[in-house]
Amino acid sequence: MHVLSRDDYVRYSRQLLVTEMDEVKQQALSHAEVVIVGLGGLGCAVAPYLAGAGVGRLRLVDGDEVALSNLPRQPLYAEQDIGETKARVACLRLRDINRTLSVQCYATRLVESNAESLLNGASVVLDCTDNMASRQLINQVCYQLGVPLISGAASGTKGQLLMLHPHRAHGCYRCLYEPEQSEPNTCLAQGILGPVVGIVGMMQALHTLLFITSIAPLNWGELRLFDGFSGQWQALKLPPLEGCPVCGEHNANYS
Amino acid sequence: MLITVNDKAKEVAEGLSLKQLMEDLSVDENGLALAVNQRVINRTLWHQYVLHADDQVTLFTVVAGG
Ligand SMILES: [Zn+2]
Repeated sequence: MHVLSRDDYVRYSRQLLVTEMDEVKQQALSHAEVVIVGLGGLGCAVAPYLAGAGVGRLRLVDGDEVALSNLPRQPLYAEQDIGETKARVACLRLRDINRTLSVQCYATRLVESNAESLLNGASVVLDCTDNMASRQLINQVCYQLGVPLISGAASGTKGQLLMLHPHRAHGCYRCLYEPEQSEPNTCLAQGILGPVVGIVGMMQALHTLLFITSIAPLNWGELRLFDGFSGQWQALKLPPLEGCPVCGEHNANYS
Repeated sequence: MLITVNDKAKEVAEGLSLKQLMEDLSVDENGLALAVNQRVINRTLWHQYVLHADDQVTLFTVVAGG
């Protein structure tokens, strides 16, 4: 029995030719629902690749509008989109890439009152936001809901990638940074080189595909640091902090 | 004893805590995090974490942009 349509075989032929892939795994992608919070540099890198690869349902969340200063690193948008909401424009572009998907856009900022409903039911959540408060909130709600979280961040020439699974024994975002910690490296304060944020977003997209298809195990609880000057990645383990208000109850048996 | 801080060798006193190391380096701690031997050490534990010879300390900054 064929599980994919004739068009799907053609569309996804190159990724189906990857040794570890098959049509069942391709179907797993079409059944998955991925929430992308933030449609800046990270979101613009992640979203078209997930749409292209056939992730069946995409939820896009961002309350911002396209600005001229976004264009160097946010290639989903063009000059004529300036002033439009990012979620709406991104949605249209993704549908142009792949009409077979369900793409939902939420032109709103993720806040405490809507976070649970926006993230609920996701196969995986991608944190592509640009501030500490949103990152802490997404981490907290993903742990509440038991949804895996692949968090990306970039600033200046540095990137960070963190893979968190609420059901695995490791620390969470709150174990890494406290909400009060300031960001010496925000885009506003320090700037950003477009490819650096693109590379981190690409890693989020890659790990999302690996996770949904299960073609390779993910290193949950690993923090990866990217240095844009050397092009090197460094991997660190993130142990749980005893008594962490977010993941504390999940991690009684970590060693 | 000898440790490394971001791959650079550094001579430090025996029994030095991470907290003391950070003070010695006189860096702005608020935007910083660190790992020892590729394991992140939460900032609330820095004062009780005693360094050993050959420890590899990795300092990195908070990155929250996107
Ligand atoms: Zn935690």
